[in-house]
Amino acid sequence: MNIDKYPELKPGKKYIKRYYVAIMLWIVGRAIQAACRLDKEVIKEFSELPEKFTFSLGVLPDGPFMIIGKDDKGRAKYMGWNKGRTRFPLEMNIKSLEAAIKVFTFQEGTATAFARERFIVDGDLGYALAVVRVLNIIEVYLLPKIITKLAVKRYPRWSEFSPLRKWVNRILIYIRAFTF
Amino acid sequence: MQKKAFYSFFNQSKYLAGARALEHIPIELHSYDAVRPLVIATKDVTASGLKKIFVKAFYDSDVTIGGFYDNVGGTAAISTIKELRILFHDRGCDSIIALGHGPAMDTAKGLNMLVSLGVDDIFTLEGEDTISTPLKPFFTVPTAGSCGYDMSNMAVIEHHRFKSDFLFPDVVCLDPRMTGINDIGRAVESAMVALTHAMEASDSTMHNPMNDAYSLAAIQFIHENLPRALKCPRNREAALALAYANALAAVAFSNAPAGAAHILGEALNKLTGNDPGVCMAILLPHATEFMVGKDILMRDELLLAQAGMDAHASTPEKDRIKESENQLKKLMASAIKYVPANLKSLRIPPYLIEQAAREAEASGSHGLTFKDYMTILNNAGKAPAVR
Amino acid sequence: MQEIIGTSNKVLEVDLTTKKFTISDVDLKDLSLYMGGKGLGLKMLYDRMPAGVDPLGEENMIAFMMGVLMGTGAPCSGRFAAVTKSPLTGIMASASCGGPFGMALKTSGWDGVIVKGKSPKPVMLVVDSKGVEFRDAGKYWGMDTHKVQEHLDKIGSAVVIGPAGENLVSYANICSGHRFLGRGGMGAVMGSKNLKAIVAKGKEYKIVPKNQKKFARTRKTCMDYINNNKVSGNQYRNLGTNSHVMLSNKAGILPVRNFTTGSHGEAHKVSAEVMLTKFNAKKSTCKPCAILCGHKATFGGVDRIVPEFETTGLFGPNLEIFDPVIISKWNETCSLMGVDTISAAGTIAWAMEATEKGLFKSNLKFGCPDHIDQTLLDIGHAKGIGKELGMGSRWLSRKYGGEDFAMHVKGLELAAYDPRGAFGQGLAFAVANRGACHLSAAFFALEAYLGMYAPYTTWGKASYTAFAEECFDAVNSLHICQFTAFPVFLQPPLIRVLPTISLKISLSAMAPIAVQVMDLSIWSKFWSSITGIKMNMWQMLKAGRRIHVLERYMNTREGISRKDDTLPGRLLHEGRKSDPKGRTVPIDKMVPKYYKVRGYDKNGIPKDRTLKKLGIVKK
Repeated sequence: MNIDKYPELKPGKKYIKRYYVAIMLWIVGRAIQAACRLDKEVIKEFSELPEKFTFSLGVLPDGPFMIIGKDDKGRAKYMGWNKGRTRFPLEMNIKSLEAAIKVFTFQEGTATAFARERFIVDGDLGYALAVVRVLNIIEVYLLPKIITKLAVKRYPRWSEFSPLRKWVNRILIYIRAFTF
Repeated sequence: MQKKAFYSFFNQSKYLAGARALEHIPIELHSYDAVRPLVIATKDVTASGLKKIFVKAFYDSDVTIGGFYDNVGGTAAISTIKELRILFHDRGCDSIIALGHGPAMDTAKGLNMLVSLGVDDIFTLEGEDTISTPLKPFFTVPTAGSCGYDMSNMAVIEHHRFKSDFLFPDVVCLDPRMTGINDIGRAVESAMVALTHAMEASDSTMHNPMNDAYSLAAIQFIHENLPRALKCPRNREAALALAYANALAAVAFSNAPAGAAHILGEALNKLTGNDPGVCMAILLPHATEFMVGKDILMRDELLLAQAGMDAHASTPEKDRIKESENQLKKLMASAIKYVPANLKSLRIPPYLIEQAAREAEASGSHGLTFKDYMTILNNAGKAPAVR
Repeated sequence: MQEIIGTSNKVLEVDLTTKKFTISDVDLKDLSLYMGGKGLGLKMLYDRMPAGVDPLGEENMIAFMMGVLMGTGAPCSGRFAAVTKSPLTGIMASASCGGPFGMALKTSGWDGVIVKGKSPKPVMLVVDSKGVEFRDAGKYWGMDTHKVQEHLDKIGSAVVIGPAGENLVSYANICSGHRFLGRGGMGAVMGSKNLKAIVAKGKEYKIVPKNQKKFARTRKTCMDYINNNKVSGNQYRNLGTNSHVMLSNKAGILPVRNFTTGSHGEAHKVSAEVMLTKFNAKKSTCKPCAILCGHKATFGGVDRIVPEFETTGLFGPNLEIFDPVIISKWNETCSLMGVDTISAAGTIAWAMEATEKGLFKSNLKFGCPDHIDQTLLDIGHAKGIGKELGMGSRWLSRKYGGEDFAMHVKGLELAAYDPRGAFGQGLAFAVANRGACHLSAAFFALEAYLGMYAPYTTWGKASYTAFAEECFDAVNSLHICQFTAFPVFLQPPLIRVLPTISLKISLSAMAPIAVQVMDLSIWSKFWSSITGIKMNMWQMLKAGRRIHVLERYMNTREGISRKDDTLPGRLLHEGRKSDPKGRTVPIDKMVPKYYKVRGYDKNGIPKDRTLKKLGIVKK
């Protein structure tokens, strides 16, 4: 057999999908940072996390990632996209780029993705669930209802999430996420 | 709950099934510390464009495919396996992925035995439970036409049978992009093999709750989805369901002895070259009827799997076995275009039929005699088509 | 001596169980439709034998049919046909032989003899103009084919079986003189009936054509063609069929090491030139032959028949042996045992490769001549390893594995032409009625030797294969030697003046139309001048088509279908080592086209309207 007829196949790259996920993670990261200064629920979730807590959310094997840390004032801070060799107390990794696309194009909600084992969670499960709750709130802020309903398990009722709160914070989060 | 003195059941495989299941393979390889698989595929995989889809699934991973061998022909040949060993070692591979059906799977299992156990003559491992150590990580990605042996603990290489729990694939990946039906005839034949395995596993004297879970589920999937696939071969849902059925039937078959229809089907295939799935499909209703006639236990749970709760509940208990046989015949009739009604349609000469019965008797399974096998064959020979 | 004008139209039907015989009159309609020889034999068995019989059972029949040309003195007409159900393949087999039995039976006044039933003890039949005498053959049972014929020579000319036939070896043959009804295991059929020999006394009748003037003219034209054609008049006459060795080697279709590659640097050692010049060869052929392809030579001090190409190719390069002396010895052993050399060599090649791969236990090795002669003797006597080897490569590979390199189609081992260098030959092998038969369409000659067809395309192959099959089925029903095809195809004046390129293009693109340019009427003129029944070239080809489709239909009744019209795995998945492009035969592209041309459905079963058009009544 001529083994050269069967060469090795190095994995290629799906650049467009990669950049899309990277952009989405950046937006979500910046939005978490902004929401942590505006939304009382997000502030509460973060306050219950340990001091100097950091977590990463990203795509295996080598990104893109989103790293969020808790600063001295106990607020969320977007710390970039490059994980390097650092190990974080909580690492939430999506198993493949295609799975990440499913999550970030809202074909699968976060909870559904978890149930379908698209995620690997390395760290305390309680903290992971807190992060998921924060992500749900962020999605309510960032996305129109029609899309958010696909992403979250249950869209909050008016009584839980007033339109005034939603719209005011939405504008402020967008401004903060894309500016300072 | 059946009263059984003792039974054992084993299945090693993890199943990745559904949308984008292929893309999970790299991470699963990591869990086995493998980053460089050798992929072995049947020829039709490249021709039908599945190679492209498969290779793309590895994009953005850190897994390099050590080599993609897509020249597996009609059977698993020892010369191919030995040549693949050279390729495996040359590329520094650490795992094997089989893509396609039958021959690719058996070739991959044979290669795994060679490279994991360091033997030179694979045939020293022929038989049951001759392997005592785990093998290298082995994944399968079955396509349509994969008939259930592929995901079992068995391999057939050059007509030599190997059976060991270590031959179970570590991961079975059922992705709808790969299980789509190109050739409905082949899909029907493989479904028939799976159905035969599942039915005979559930009817065997060694049936147990664990195995029943697999065999009855397989029977249900086939009864529900084969007619759908026949009506519309492009129906991806039905195709995927049949792939599930094959996987379930493979596990059931691995944990139960081969039945009469299987043994006779294999014997006829060996003597005449007719597809074993077609032979088994023709023989199955008659083998089942024969077993009922001999008062060998047939269970009324079969009807529940075949026809659903309503039919099961509305049929009196004493009639359920008969109704189960009718359901089976009805299923065969729906596939009449691909599975002839009787052996006569295959035009097998009587002297070869007798030879098949003799070989079946010599296999020693079930304790059936030559006369018993001839009764089944004769009934299958002249059965009228069910309309 | 009495005269038979045309043909006697009388066939003996012998029942060995009851030890009785009857005389049947050949229906003239059947004679017109099926011509005689192979065709008539098939039709007669179709009418008498049910489907599904055990080839080695009593119900199987074997028909020896003489053809209308036998005994007339037409060139190359000393051949007769036999038809039966083959124990090797389980389907119909026919074979052709140039031995003296044909002339003897015809001049005893019979056009054929059909045998059925089974004798309780070894028996032989002695045939003269009065009928059949049953004689005990116990004293001949166990004798080799030469010895028993020496004994029977004083009675007449015979067809006999050797120990292989007696031991029901699946590819045992039937011997007449030093010629054979080689393929398909016909010897085992006789052996299963305990029939050691059929002897015909002969010389009681003279066969006279009905239209002697037309016959004489046709004969003269045919002789001119034969003598002037470079193949029949020179290549075969002077070098024999071993001239194919170097032609095949050059074209890359010589089987080497069980069809692993297509040429070898030592092939010249077994070429015709070496065989004949080094070993003092002289002519030794069928009577009356005008081509004279057969030769005798002195090998290692012993006078032996020069093996013909199939034997040389398959016992030689295919086993990596390049010693003509030893090949001639094996040829002689096969001859004495009554074993088909093609199937024997093909099976031994499988055994060698299977042993190498650990699938089978034997002491046979490629390139090593040791043990082969003993193995052939063991095959003939069904002893030791020979018992299983005598079942053929299909049976062995189904038991031990190695199906990919078991080089057979439908159970009949491949002749010595590698179809990866001649795709049309691949199609011809795959669809031939009796199995891997090189004579059904003989495509290799046009692709690899004469350059008439591009070997590596599929274009035009289906229609030419169908045409050639019809042609040669007609030839084997006449019955005349197939080698007359070279002069008949290539010598007519129009063919000689046309540029080769135009013949090439027309054959590739429109074989049925290209036929118009050829003059195949020599054959039909022979037939009609002898029988007195009108038949033109087109009617003859239609008869050939009818014979071919009838044989196919009989085979489909035994379970043959699309799954069987294929080639061994090696030819489909592995390229020749000598071919850098590693080409394999694209059989799946050619077979559906062939079915369309033939009027078969997609499973390869003749359609009802095809059968009706040819006047074949379904059973």
